[in-house]
Amino acid sequence: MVSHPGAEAGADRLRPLNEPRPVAVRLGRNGLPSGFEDRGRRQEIASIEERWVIEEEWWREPLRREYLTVMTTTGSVRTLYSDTITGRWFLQNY
Amino acid sequence: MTIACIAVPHFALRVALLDRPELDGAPLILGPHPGGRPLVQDATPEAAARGVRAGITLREAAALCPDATILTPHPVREAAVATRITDDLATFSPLVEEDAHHPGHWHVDLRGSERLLGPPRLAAERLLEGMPPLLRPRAGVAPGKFPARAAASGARPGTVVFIDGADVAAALAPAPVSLLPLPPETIRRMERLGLRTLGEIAALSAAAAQARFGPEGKLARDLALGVDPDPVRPMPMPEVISERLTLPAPATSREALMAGVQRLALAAFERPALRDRFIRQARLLALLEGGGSWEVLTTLREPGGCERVIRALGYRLDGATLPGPIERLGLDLIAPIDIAGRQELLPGFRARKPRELVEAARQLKQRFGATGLYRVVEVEPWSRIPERRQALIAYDL
Repeated sequence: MVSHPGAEAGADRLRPLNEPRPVAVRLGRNGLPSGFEDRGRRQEIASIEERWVIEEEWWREPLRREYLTVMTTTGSVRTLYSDTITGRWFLQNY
Repeated sequence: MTIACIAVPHFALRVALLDRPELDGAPLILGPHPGGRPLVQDATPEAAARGVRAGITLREAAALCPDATILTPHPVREAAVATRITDDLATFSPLVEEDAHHPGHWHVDLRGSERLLGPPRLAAERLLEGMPPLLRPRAGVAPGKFPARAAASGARPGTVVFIDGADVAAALAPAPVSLLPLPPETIRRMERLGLRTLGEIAALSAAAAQARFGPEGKLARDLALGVDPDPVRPMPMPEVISERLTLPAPATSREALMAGVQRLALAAFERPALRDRFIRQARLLALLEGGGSWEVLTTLREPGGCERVIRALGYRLDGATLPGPIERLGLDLIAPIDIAGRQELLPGFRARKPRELVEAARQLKQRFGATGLYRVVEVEPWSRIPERRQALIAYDL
């Protein structure tokens, strides 16, 4: 992280960072993800480490996400979320 | 997939009746939360028959129905009743979901429960038997969550409407489009175009529905045909550490409230269950003098300990108006997790511009007109929505 440059920034000069990436998620019988496919690579979920819900901005554009920190069978830890309004799944660093 | 939907229409009003059963059958209006705008939140069919509907002012409601009783929402009581119902239903099936978008609705997956509960219709009747009759529960059984909810909406109190898998679309056809889980604006557009029932939506071709309403049109048509593959998602049952405190005198100021919050948080984090653990969510419950209640839920951006919980609740209470004198306080610390390592900056480490990078950027800009380099700047570092915390900005010299 570097300090703010102080220069005026136009909106066109800003680029988003850490945008959520859509992923295809397979759900198990309990309704929770059992695996997902990211950039053509299938990953199996070994365990769900944590779950939490973010619900904000109901007064503007409602946003409701259920985040899950999962550990894959290869040992990597990823953060998935389900947009519970549209039902779509995304991968995002939290 | 056989799903039962247990429905309690006008849930908040029915819960209020548990305290005052003598009002059952009278016109009732649910008023605003203490301190909220004086608008009607909900009305029983007896009041609705006189023209009272959600969204109008209490003054208008009183003019339309002078003998109506106005009740105040009691969120703590509502949450407690909802949790009790979920727990009771979970004794019949492990797959129980409280519908987050429709208060007072529960979905129960009946797969595999035939030997325990009997055929689906009988099973739904047994689920209803366990509910307080004053809530006027009813049930629908169908091969999907949406058809089951639609069936329940057409059932009379205490009865079950069963939709067989073979004729779901036909059974749903007369139901109004307002049952669809779509934004009110989309429903209004459908009604303006003369699409008033699910049967009329089902009669559209898939291409026409999608062309006119986008993905929502496809979803609406699938649901109208009875196709809802969404499984019952059991609610997570997080561990909750609770502390309660009766205040020596009713609290009317933020300072008095924060003193109570501090005592509760310190007591909770003293407990062995929270040793070396952080929490992510905290709920503050307040019982008001005179019977009402109030609650504040806060989710920390990152899991934190006692100090962070007190600070987060302090921020939430900063802008809040106390709805009345508070007699009892409760603090629920939800889903504790084991403390994870957090990498802090090393002492003396500071970001700086290496001379080589500045020189490389200068040469790139001379050659191409722009450096093509970006730096990370904080936009809303406090945001719980990750993509809003930082952005990239062109690294210009």
